[in-house]
Parts: sequence; structure tokens; C-alpha cells
Amino acid sequence: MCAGPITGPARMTGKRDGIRHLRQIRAGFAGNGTMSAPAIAVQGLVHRYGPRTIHDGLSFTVPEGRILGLLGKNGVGKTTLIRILMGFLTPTAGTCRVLGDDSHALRAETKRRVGLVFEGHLAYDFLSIAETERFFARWYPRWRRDVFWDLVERLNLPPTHRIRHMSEGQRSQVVLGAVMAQDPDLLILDDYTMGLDAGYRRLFLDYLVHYARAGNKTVLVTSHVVQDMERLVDDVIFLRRGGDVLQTSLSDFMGRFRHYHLPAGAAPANLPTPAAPLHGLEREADGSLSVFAFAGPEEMRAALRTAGIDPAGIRERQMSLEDAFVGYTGKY
Amino acid sequence: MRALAMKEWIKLRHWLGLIGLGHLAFGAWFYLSMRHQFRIEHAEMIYYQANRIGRLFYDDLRYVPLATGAVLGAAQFLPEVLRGRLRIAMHLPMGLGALILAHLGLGLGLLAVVLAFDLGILAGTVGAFFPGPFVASALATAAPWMLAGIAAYLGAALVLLEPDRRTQAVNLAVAGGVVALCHLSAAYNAYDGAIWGLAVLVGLMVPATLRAAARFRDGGTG
Repeated sequence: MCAGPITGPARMTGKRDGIRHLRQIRAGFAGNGTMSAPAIAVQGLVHRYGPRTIHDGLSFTVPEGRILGLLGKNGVGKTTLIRILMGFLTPTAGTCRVLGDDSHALRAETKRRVGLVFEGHLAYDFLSIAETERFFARWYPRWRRDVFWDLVERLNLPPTHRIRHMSEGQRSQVVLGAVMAQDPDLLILDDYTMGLDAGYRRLFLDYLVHYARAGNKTVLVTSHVVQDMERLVDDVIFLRRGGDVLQTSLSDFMGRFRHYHLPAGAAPANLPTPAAPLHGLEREADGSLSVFAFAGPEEMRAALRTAGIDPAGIRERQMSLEDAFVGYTGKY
Repeated sequence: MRALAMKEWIKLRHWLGLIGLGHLAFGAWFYLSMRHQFRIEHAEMIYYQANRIGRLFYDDLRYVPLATGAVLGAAQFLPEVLRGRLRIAMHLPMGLGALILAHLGLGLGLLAVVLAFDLGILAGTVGAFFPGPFVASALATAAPWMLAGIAAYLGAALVLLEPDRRTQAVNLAVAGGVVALCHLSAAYNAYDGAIWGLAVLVGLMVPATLRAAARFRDGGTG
């Protein structure tokens, strides 16, 4: 059931590389080498809002049992993609399959296997905690009452407490409890961090991680708090403006993507356009230069010289995922 | 279905309480008002006014079903579309058509109880003061008003579920038009020859509501 890790950064630019990308990654292969159907399979996805193209031939898969973070700056199409995956938006073209069904036409039995956490922790705020549990329990044969109450009882609120009288953090726990109690095979979470303070974010994350790992659940998650992803995800997909997509395992990305620092004066006033293996050049406030690349120090020195940048004084810097995210997607 | 009924009941029970109290108060006022008419005027004069001049003695009921339908529709569907909350229900393991029809069925069932109460008050009050044939005439005269209540309920659902603002405006105009058709005349038995056609027209608002819900699912958030 659990797929092997994705071994290298697979990079694609929409249509051109989508199929190649699918071949590159080992997503969808079980540990014994046999093929297992991916939990999510997106192929040649195109979406436009009027004349504006959001996705142009996007393809990726999410293997069963993996936790995948969908990362990208505002406006790159994360919400659009999540809405398509949740079945609340019809793509202009391409296919998007969730547990084998067209995401826009999930059968009832497939819906039972998919748990959704909507942005802002949508809930029926006119229901109480107990009524929420009673309402959802009727729809899901695998309903885990113990899971729901284990999480919700930590709020120290009476079961008669109405959702509308809860804080955002409290509501997030009820929503997560309801979704986890469904015992779904696939969870899709749209920006679960919205409105949560650090404490509730941590609580939400700890529960989610434990639940997903223990139950071998597949999880697709987006969040604006990138640092949380480091504790949660196995794999990441970076969406960038212009349709560039990178899908890779988190460990591989963090192992291969490097941040180098050069003192002020090492580069000309007008920074050159980065070419492979250089990925990004950022002038810092003090005039020094940050260079991001999928390359080791030796290869970097050569690449910098080619770009007209003096590599003397180059230092590699440790990065958090958030640093790497900003380095990969750019500050602006 | 039981789960949906539970949810709708919890959501609407306070509104239903208010609506119920309102209709009880209206019923009491309606009866007392009619009794007052018969105290200040001779019954023969009132029968004459009703029979010969066509004066309507229960005109106060005319817009009550309309207001009730609109309030009930808004109370039921506004919380669903705020922040796109309807998406929760849309992910429940049932088809979209069945889901929306279940919501409409529950709402229309509750509305039918209220409208039946209104008709009961009308029949009871008219029957208490007028000769028997007036009761059938009163019910026939009030039938389009009841249809207006149903049209207002379906119109509220149609408008609220529609995610596109322009289509929402069109839906509002269509719903307003259907309601207006139900109120073209307040004369006795004015709709006797048209009531079934009007009922079909109101019924057509159900598939229109299903289409609005499908558009909501396909890209709108309300």
C-alpha cells in the first residue's frame, strides 16, 4: 500500500513534460515493486478563468499512503487545484481522478473514503458538538466515535456547546475530529492553518500526523505556514508562476536544494538571469547575494564564474523548509 | 435522510417557532377582526358586500404565505451558502439532485404545515361567520396566495443557491414574476381556471433550483 519514496526532483513545465514526469517519479509503485493505483492522479489538467490560464497541462500523482504538501505562493493556482480535487470546480480540460473516480463525479462510496477539511474549518455552526457527531456518524459506516470524542473532549467543552460559540481553534478540532472519525482513506486539507494560533496549529498537526501515519492514510494538504510541512509531509509539490511544477520527496528536496551566500560586491549591479544549475539569485538588504541551486559547491563555483559572479567568499547556509520555499519560489 | 432532517430541524426550529407564533397571532387577530366586522355591521350587509360588490373580507391573509415562504427559504438556505457551507453537504455520500430535493422537500413540508394552518384558520373563520358555500370560495380564492408562498420559498432557494451574480438577478426577477402572477387579482375565485397551470409554473422552479445548485458545485462559493 505504501509507495516508496520519490527519488529525485521531477520537474515539469505543464504539457511538455507531464508524461515524462509521470514516468520519472516512482509514485504509484508499492514497496514490492507491484503497481498500486494512486490515490490522486492528475493528467494534463488545464484550467482557465476567462483569458487567464491558471494550469496548463498539469500532471502529477499522489501515491497511496503518502502525505503530500501542495506549496506555492499566492496566485499560482493552489486553491483552484484543491477545488478541482474536491469536486467543486470543473477543469477546462484534462483528467483528475480521486481514488479512481473523476473528482467531479465521485460515487457515494468514494465520497465515504474521502475526508475534506475546507479552508476556514467550515462546519455547521448551528449544531452542537454532540449534534455534529450524530449528524456525520449516520453517513459513514466506518465511523470512529472514539476518535471524534478523544480529540474533542480535550477542548473541555460540554457536548451541548454550539459550534458558533467556539473559537477558530476549537472549531478546527471539531472539524478534524469529524473528518478523522469518518476513517477516510484520503484526506484533502485546504489551508488548515487559517485562523489558528501556534498552539492549535501544533495540536491539529500532531493529531493529523499520528492519525495519518498510524492508519496509512493518504493526505494532500496546503498551508500558508510552510514550516509546519516539515513535520508533516513526505512529498512536496511546488507550483510556480508560469506553470512550473516540481514534485519530489521532502528529504530529497532538502538534500539537493542548496542556499549559498556571497558577500556584497561579488556580483554586478544588474544580476544575470539564472541559468541551470543556478535556480535563483536574490540581492539581500545589505548588498550581499543569496544564490539557490540544485548543485554542490564545486559545480556552483563554476556556474557562478560563467554567470560573471565572483565565487570567492561563497558560504553554504543551512535552510529550513520555509527558507527553501522562499528560495525556490522567489520573494516576489 | 434522517440526518438531514435532524440538521434542518435544528437549523430552522427557532425560525419555525417565530413563524408559528406569528401565524397563531395572525389567526387570532384574523378571527377577532372578522368577528368585529360582524358586530359593527349587519350580517346581511356584509353578505351583500361580499356577494354583490365583491369586497374581500380576508384580504389580510393575502401576503402572509408570501412572507412566510420567503423567510423560511432564506432561513434554510442562507446559512448553507454563507462561506460556501453547502460544500459540506455536497460531499456527503449522496447525489447532488437527491441532496437538494431532500432539502427542498423538508422545507416545503414545513411550509405546507404552516400554509395548511393558514387555510384552516381561513376556513374556520369564514365558516364561523359566513354560509357554507363561502368556505369553498375562500379556499379557492386563497389558493394562488398559497402558491405565492411556495414560489417565494423556491425563489429564495433559487436566488441563494445561484453563485453567479447576474444569473442571481435574473432568478430574482423570474421568482418575482411568478409571485406577481399569483397576485394578479384578488377577486373571488379569480384563479379557478388557471390554478393548475400556475401550480405547474411554480413547480418548474424546482428543476431551476437544481441547476443553480449544480452551478454552485461547479465553481461558485456563494
